[in-house]
Amino acid sequence: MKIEKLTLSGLRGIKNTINLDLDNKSLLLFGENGSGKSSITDALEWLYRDRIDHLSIEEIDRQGGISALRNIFLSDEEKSFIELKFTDSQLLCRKELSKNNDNEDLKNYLDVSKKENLFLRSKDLARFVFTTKKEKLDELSKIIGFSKVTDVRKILKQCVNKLNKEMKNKNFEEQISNNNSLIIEHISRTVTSDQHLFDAIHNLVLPLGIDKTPNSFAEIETMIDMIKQPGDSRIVELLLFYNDLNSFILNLTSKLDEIEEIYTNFYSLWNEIIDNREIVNELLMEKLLSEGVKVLEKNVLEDEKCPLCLQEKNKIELLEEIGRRITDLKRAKERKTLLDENIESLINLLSGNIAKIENILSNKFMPEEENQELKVKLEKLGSTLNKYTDELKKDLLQRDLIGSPEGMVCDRELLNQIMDFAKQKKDGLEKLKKDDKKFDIHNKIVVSKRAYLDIKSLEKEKAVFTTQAETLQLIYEEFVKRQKEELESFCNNFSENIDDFYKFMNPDEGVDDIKLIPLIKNDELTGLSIQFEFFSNSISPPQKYLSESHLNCLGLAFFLSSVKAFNKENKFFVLDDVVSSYDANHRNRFMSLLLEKFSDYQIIVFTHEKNWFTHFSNTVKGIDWHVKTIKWSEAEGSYIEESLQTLKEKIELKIRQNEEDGLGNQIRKYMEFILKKIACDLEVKVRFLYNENNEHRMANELLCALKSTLKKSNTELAANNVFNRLASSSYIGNTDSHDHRYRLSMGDIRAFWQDVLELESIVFCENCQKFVSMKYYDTVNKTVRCACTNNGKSYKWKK
Amino acid sequence: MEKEIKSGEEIVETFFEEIENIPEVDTKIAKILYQLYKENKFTDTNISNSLLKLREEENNEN
Repeated sequence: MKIEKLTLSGLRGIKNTINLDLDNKSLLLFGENGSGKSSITDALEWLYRDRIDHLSIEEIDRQGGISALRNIFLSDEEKSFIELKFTDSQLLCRKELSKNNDNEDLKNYLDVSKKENLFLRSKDLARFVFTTKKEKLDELSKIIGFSKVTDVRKILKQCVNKLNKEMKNKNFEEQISNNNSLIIEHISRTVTSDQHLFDAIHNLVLPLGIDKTPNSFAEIETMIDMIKQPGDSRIVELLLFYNDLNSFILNLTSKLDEIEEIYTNFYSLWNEIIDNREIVNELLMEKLLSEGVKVLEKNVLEDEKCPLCLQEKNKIELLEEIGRRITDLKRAKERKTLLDENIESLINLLSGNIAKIENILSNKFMPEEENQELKVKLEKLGSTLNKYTDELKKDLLQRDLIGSPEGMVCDRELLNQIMDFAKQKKDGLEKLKKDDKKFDIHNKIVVSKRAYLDIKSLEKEKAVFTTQAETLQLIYEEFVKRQKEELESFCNNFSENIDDFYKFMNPDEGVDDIKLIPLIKNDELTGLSIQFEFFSNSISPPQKYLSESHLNCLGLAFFLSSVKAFNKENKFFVLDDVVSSYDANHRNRFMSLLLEKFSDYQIIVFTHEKNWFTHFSNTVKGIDWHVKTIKWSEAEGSYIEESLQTLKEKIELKIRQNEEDGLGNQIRKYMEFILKKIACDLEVKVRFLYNENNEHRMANELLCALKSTLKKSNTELAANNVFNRLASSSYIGNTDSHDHRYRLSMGDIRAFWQDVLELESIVFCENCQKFVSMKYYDTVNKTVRCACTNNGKSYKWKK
Repeated sequence: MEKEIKSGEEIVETFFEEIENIPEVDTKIAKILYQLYKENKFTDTNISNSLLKLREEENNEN
């Protein structure tokens, strides 16, 4: 996007409408301090950012300085707006104060543009250089959206950890090993395939005179049916039940140590937080703000409002502000995260065991009279574990007190009693069937078959888990690798440009190889530093050795590098008075840098440095830049000084259309142009005035001085009545004309214009389009003339 | 020629577009992650739930 036309009205110092017809071309705009250059930048910043950074201070407002945007001299009916037309797009980019924008295309364009670097002001020049490493990273992260990368990396890492933890809690190895032990215990061999198991069962049933190898698990069931005796199945199931119970309690005993250790840790973290009211308050705020982010991100409110106080507020601004406040609460959030990790580990450990206890309690053998003692003990064990989960449900932010680790300890004696109970029952059943060969074979087949199937199922589950964990780990590693590569590539590329632009402006000054260095800790990007070679010594940070002017050059190089890197939608940028702190050499090198390296961009340069402006305007004369001047007057506010030709066309159009509004002022302005040109070219002497006061002379003063010069140099010209008429009508368009009570007629204005044209015709040659000037003074004939050698304007002239 | 600098979003976008091509990565999981990212549901809870569902499906397969 390049700008075809920029129109502003009623914004900051700009009262009346200013039109800048740029037509894709770059612009060099000169203006004294206070002429309104920065009003243009402010308006553009408001258009693209919805706020004006330097006005976003509490003393002005809490809405990004927008209350300071409207020109204070406007009447209530007058509108404040900025409008951009682009050459390569149909999009009309218009924004009016107190009017919401509902154009979707425009919203999308502005959203994309928000990420681009479009303006640089002098005061922001070295801001990046002076920021901390973390702030540098934040600034760049914001521009390139690196937080998105960090977020994805964090989520992937969380998932990898979670999956590994779940796998650990599943304890596949131990479960498989227990089942293998059961198989060995019952059939004295290991089983690694279905066929192994079938062969083993064949060996088991041979003593019963059955010489058959089962070919499927269904056939095993048929064989069991063949050998089982009445009541045997119940005993086999009971043995399995007590065996499972024993294995579970054994496993739980080892887990209890871990549960108690994590709970002790959790308890101390909990108390550390609730004992510190400030941290609890910070966590409350963090919770509120995070919820606010969700509400905003989900567009719960359609209007641009704060969801809490319902005050008008730009959504993106608000999200950024909340983001900053959440970052400030990082300390409290980190503690809470640590606490949450403990809670998650405890829940993982407890939930499986509590579910298992409930599962045992619902077993069909539990209601039997002989198991009532076991039931009581298991319920007691369950309530001990549930005590932990009850504590985990307490409200940290209400500063609830939780049970001490000592009071939570599970009585190991209870576990021993359960295991003793199971063992006694198991022993009793085994004793009952001690010499029963058929029962023994039946039991061995059932136990080994179930253990084998459990192993198969556990191995399958483990393989699925492992695939997921390995895949996630691979994806995470690849992501970290890409993140590093992209960051390195970004820094290298960015550094190359910074180095190139800086050295272009400061050749042969001992500074070389300027680099942005990413600082990485635990796979995490923690900051960026600027480093460079200074007379072959590695230096960081730059402010250690560089002068203010050089630091500004570095800042400028950074801005221009980011323009190259990130501005994809917009092919223009604004530089508002950025050369003030440079000496003449640096200014000129900066100008060459813009012209050589950014020739494909539309550059809008504002400056109040007269000499640089003159040099710059002479340089860009032949390369199609617009060169303009902005001025300010009490009556008009800021206005762009128009070329004589444009002003003349406007005046004549208004006269043709009988449009009086502002016409007197425009004619006065035109007359002042002509008088200044005459005074300059004919060397009219006026009293000395300092700097810009020289430019602000009134028409009357110039007219008097001109008449006095003419009286000495050419009495015939001096006698022309037009000078007297102009002197008497010049008040028509003076700077206070708006307040004049005397109402001018169109006739008065037309007469005034005719006088001005007559004055012009005396000194301006239509053939050569030049003014009569002392440059063409003929010392032989003692005449002044225009640029024509023959038939041009020529007057006798006494020096 | 100047190398194009990618924005964070482009880095993530490109990564997910190519996620299935990472050597030795299970394509089902890669697809799940890409889908969650595309649907703007890329959170650890959603990923864990999707992986759990996939585990259950795969464990129930014969």
